[in-house]
Amino acid sequence: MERRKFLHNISHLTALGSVSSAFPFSNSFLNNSILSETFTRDKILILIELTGGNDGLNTVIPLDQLSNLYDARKNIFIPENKTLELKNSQVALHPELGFFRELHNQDRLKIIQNVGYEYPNLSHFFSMDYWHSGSDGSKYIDSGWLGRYLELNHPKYPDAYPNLNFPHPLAVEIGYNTSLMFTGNKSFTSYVAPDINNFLEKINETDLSYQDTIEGQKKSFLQLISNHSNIYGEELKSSYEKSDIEFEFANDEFSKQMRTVCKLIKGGLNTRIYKISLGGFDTHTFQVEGSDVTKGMHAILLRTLNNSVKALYENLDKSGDSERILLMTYSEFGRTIISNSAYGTEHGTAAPMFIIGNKVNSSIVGQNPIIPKNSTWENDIEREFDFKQVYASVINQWLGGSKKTAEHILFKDYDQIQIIGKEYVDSDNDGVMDINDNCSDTPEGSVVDLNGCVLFTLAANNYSVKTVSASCIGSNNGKIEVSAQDTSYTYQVNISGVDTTYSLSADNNHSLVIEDLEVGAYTINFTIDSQQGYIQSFETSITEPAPLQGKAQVDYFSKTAKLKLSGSEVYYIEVNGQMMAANSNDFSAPLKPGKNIIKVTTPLDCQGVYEEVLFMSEKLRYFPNPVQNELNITVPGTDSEINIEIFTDGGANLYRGTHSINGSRTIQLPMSRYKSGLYIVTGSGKTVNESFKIIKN
Amino acid sequence: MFKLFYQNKKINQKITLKNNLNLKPQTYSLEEFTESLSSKQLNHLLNRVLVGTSKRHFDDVLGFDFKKIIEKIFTPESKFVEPKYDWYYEINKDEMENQWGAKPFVDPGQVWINSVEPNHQPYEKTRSLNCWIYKCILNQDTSIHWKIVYFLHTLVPTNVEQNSYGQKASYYYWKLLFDNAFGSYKDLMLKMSLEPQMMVYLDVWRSHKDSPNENYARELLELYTVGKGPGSGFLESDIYQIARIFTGFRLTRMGEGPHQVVYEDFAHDTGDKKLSSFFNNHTIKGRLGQNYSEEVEDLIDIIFSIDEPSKFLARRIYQFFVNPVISSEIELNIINKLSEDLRANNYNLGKTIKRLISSKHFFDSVFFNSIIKPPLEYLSSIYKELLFDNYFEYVSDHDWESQPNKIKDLETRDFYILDSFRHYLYMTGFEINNPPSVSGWIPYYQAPEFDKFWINTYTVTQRQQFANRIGGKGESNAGIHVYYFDGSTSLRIDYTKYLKSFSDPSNIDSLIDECLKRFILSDVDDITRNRLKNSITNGNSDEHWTEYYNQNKNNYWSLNQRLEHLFHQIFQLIEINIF
Repeated sequence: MERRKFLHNISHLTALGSVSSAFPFSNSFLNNSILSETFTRDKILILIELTGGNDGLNTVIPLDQLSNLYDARKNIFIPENKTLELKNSQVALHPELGFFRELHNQDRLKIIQNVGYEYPNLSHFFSMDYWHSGSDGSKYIDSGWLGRYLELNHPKYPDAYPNLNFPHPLAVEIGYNTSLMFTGNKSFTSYVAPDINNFLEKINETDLSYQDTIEGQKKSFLQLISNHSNIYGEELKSSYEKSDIEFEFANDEFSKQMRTVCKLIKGGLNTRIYKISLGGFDTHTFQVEGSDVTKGMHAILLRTLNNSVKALYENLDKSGDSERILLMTYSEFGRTIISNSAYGTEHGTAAPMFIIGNKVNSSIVGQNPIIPKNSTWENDIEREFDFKQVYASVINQWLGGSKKTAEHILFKDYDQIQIIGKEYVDSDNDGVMDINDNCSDTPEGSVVDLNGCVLFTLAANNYSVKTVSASCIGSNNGKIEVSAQDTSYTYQVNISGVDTTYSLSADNNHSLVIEDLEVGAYTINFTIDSQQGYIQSFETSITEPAPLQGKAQVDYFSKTAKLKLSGSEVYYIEVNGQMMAANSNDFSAPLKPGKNIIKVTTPLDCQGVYEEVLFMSEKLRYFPNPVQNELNITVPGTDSEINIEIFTDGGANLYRGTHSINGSRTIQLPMSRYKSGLYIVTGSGKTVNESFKIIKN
Repeated sequence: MFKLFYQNKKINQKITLKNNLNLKPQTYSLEEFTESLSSKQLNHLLNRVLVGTSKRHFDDVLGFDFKKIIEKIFTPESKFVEPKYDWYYEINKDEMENQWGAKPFVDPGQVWINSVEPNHQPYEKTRSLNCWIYKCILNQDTSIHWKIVYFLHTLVPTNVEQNSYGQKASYYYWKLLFDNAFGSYKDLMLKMSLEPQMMVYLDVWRSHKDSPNENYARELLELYTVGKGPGSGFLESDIYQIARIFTGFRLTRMGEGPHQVVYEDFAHDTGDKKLSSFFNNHTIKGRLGQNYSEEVEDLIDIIFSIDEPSKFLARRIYQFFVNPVISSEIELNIINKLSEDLRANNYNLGKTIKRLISSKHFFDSVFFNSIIKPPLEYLSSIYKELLFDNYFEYVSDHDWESQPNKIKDLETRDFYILDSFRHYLYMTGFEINNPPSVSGWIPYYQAPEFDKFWINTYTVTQRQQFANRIGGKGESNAGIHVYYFDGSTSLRIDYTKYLKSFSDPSNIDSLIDECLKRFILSDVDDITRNRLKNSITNGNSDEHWTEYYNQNKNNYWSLNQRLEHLFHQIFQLIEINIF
């Protein structure tokens, strides 16, 4: 199965200073069908799911509530001197979150307190589904907020993906089975891999076109997703292997996930959303160790989280990639204010979220939760923010999307929280910060000038440029076929080395073939009269064909010659005067007994001829061996005579004679006159060419 | 440098419109199909009415005419085997009684459905229950019975309670579906509303008149009877009123026998329940004393007295058995008629499904291979053909002797081997008795993509991995993984033995044809056919294969390797994923 070979386009941006929103290409050169590398510096969101329900009160500790907090949860309360106080605030962090405190000192940490939702559900599965789908808790929604976001921004997904603009998965989840968060209304928008080894589970690759029946549509879809799995897997592997880790991660599962994400980002994968998860937060018992509250399950988990975020930042700070990332932690709910007798807590409602990034508006948002005096099981942390506010903020301030987009995806208009520093916010995601942007609400994907306003452009894939045939050196029969999809314009087409200016218009259905081209490299420029300054260039080449080469191997058992050919897609194979055509490099030519002449040519004369002469001998049978008097030699086939020669071991020729072959097809060779020893007998004729050894007694 | 897969599809309006004809059925007639069945039509029929097909099903209807085949398909199962205590190698009777508190529990190998339940749930018991369901399905007669049960499970989904007392309730839920598969859906809804499993799943069992729990009331209307389509018009107030009916119902869950519904009348809201104009303003009279299950009877009568439930049910039946996308023509011509039928025959599932299955419309070729196989149908076909029915024939002798007794003993083997079935189902995206939400499984209801949702980059890889294992390729210990507490084993298929059931395995074309016939419904092009042929002949001649096979047909060590090449290719074909 051959992959289709494509001509890859590079776009030359206009002479005006411009910023291509979100998808800049680096200019590099083509080499036949080798693709130039695309590299984007887009913003990345890393979602960290803390599964089980994280105890917010022991994570972000309200320093002004300590006395009531102690009363409520004596057996798991962390004394103030063990906690990590955050400067200029009323909170401290769990002792294991040392790096998070450092991030706070560096103004890279934001804490949003008391986040929950309207109709809290204390079932793990339901609640996590609500967080994933963006539901208010009163009903089940079948799709995820990020699934909807990605489908809105990529309406042709998955059918027209991967493509030049988006060659990599839209989202990557490290885990098993795609989560509701990335389930769209149409399909799943994420690529899922349990671990790095699974990037390359190759599926039998096919590239067939199917009929446009319901059956055909389903087959196409299956083939599409299988190919996605292969291709995206290869992309991930490629990015993964390109990068190295300077500052090592710990060896637990979660840190390995973080390490994988780190490698993929460093390796240039331009996926924008990653999700990893850390489980075990459902601490109904032994959230802390009885003898030392700074130890225990919760401490281990927070340490794991802390250290992997630390290693991530050590690596990405060094490589300069930390500019691009934003981390967000979330959990399906918090835990109760009071603890139980087993050093644990039950399911609660609101809890804090961490947002981490270089461009974060670092502050602690929200009030410290009020811990009632003499709290009971009836008391819960009061919700101050809705997680959908956080989602809306992430969409509008970081991922890229207008307020309307956020409202559409979350079904309601939620008040935002300032997550990203105002100076970094680019609400319409056109590459120009809001503070410099003259045109807010630029449509997604537009090319803009330095003021953030739309520049005329057409997508590179509006055009199709294909070399139709290769030419032989000296002959000018190469062709280039060009066409354009957007038929509302008339285009001028110029080809380097050709004087004529062609056009693509309604007159020729926006499609044309330029013929009689020599072997060589060509630049094709598309311009539009009505759009001054616009130009789209492509580079391609017309090559000479590879030489025709061949090898033959005779299979005596099946009486065929196995030919291995190369240099063309179509071969004309003449076997003993009979002509056959083949479109594969392997061909099995049937042989007749005797001499066979095989000649191979291609549609291009200049590739020459490949010729073989093969002799298929009939197999002689002879008996007895050892022989005393007469040697019987049976000659299959149709020859009427056979030439026999006898040689000694040493090579002396003792006998030469021609025997006619009668109906029994067996000739008798007198051997009695020879002395005992080893002899070599050869038989040759029209269809025979064999020799064998015989012993004379 | 990296390679790209770029699809340059020109969107041409004219071509799209013309091709739409290939996407619509030629006939909307529900008249009975009267021709004799071609092999394609038979394939289509059996694959849609069974949970996975295999040679034995085709053999069951060999030589039958259409009427006789339909009769057979609509004959209820000849058997019903109750689940037994088959996990005793993992947890023995003493442990069940002492550690898990199920005293007395049944002896090993005995039916447990009426025994005392353990007061926590040993996972093994749930696993055994789910394997029992799979076994029933894999062992099914050539009858639509279990397919209707499975259909009902997707329509009224539930799981095994995570707390104690879960498995018995789940069993009786399945028994309810099984006993009513050919009966009235209305009657089934009445029974289901008072079924302990659903009472627990949707919180009726603790609903009190002071704050009635709306869970069951909502799902009864939204998911099981009226739906959320354009014809649905019930109000939130209806849900509240219905929730008031479902108060005061409690359950006994200890002791022997099935769980019983108990009427705690002091917790029941005895007032009248007034419904909205969507239900013709009917009022359900509140009952005093212990008789308030009569309110539920009234409720069901009222719900099924309006038209929309019959349409809702007709649509779900159509989507499950024919095609998930319902166009306006189908709604007008088919759904309307089927819903009239349902209203006329007291919502009889057997009769209505039979009419649909025997119709000309059902056999329209536009529906052949038009649905992506759900994981259950995908794996069932392969398991039925290779493993389950003929299991002991298709495991190589040298492997079998060394297996531990627990997977050789007839009484316990299915607990282990069927768990591998459960495992691969899970990896390809499905767990029976464990829906992702109360709505069930997304591919069965999420318009407009429906069955495409079974396929994502992960599940498609898992199907590939399964093909590797069953085809014998992949890791060095390829084969189905069977796990047990203190280890695992892999069972490989003995294809040399399997081939003896073929008509002419020494003839390569016949061999390929029969392989395709057994596993693939749709046509396969010549390129693929040649690829399959080459995978086993390596480019040698047909005669070469004949000679080789005849010499080696009993030689597992030589032949099986070559056959694995072939079967591995077959199981990777895209065509195996549609029906």
